[in-house]
Amino acid sequence: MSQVFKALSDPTRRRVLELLREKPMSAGEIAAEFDVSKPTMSAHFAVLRDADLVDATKMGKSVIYRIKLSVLEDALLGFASTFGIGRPDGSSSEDVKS
Amino acid sequence: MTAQRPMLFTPLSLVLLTSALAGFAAWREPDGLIAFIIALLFLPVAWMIVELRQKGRERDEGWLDDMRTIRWSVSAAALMMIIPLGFTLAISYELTAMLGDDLEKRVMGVMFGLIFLFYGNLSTKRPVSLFTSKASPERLQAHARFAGRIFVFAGLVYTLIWSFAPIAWANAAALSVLAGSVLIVMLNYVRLGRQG
Repeated sequence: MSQVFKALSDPTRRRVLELLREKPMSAGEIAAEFDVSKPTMSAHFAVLRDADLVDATKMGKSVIYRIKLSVLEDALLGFASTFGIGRPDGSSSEDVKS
Repeated sequence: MTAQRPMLFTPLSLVLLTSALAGFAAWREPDGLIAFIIALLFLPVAWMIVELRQKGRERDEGWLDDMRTIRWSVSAAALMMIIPLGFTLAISYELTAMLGDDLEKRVMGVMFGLIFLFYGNLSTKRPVSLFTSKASPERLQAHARFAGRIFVFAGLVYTLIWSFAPIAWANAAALSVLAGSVLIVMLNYVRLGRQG
């Protein structure tokens, strides 16, 4: 459970989960939504995979990410997003493209 | 690419535990022999059919994706059978005698409600199939989330009914909640199919 809290404590990872909540996406499609380097994005994906919050499936040359949130984890994500947990000033993440 | 689960909770270990409990219950309670034998054989046979069909399809991504879903469903079914079977054995050994008839019914009801709640909570943990032609992954994912929330809510209400409602109508009320939740989820699935 601590891995889940760690994963949800970061605004970028929460934004990734919110995107995946809408539909499965490729790593490239997700990365295009953020102004961060590829290694940083890979590290975020690794944390989400370790927490078992996303599933990564290789399809051809791309990796498709799908969300794996339980109802409780979904509620925690909503709670963390609403109250801006992990955001020092309550503003939106700098990683996310405007 | 996913986190490793402890061996105890692998689908196969849950299937074996279910069969062992069903076999033991069949020996302890001969009156329910047929039901327990069905419980003993059902999951192992389903498991074998799935595993045998897998041969030669190890490279088929769509099939492997379906396999993950089937394994998850088998685990959920096993968990839903393990708890009532365990409770049946506890009753058989008169471990619940001190509870009295009413309290025994309430404990059984609360446990079933908690299983349903647990199932609803984890049902959304199963990733949506990328290879299905029934509907778009977006719609299937939205349906799975909706169903999970409804089942968690129904499990919670079911548990509360068996905890606090008068015993005379607890069963009817709890079953109505359960049936209602399944009906709502089914109607949503039908609506999803019509939208394409």
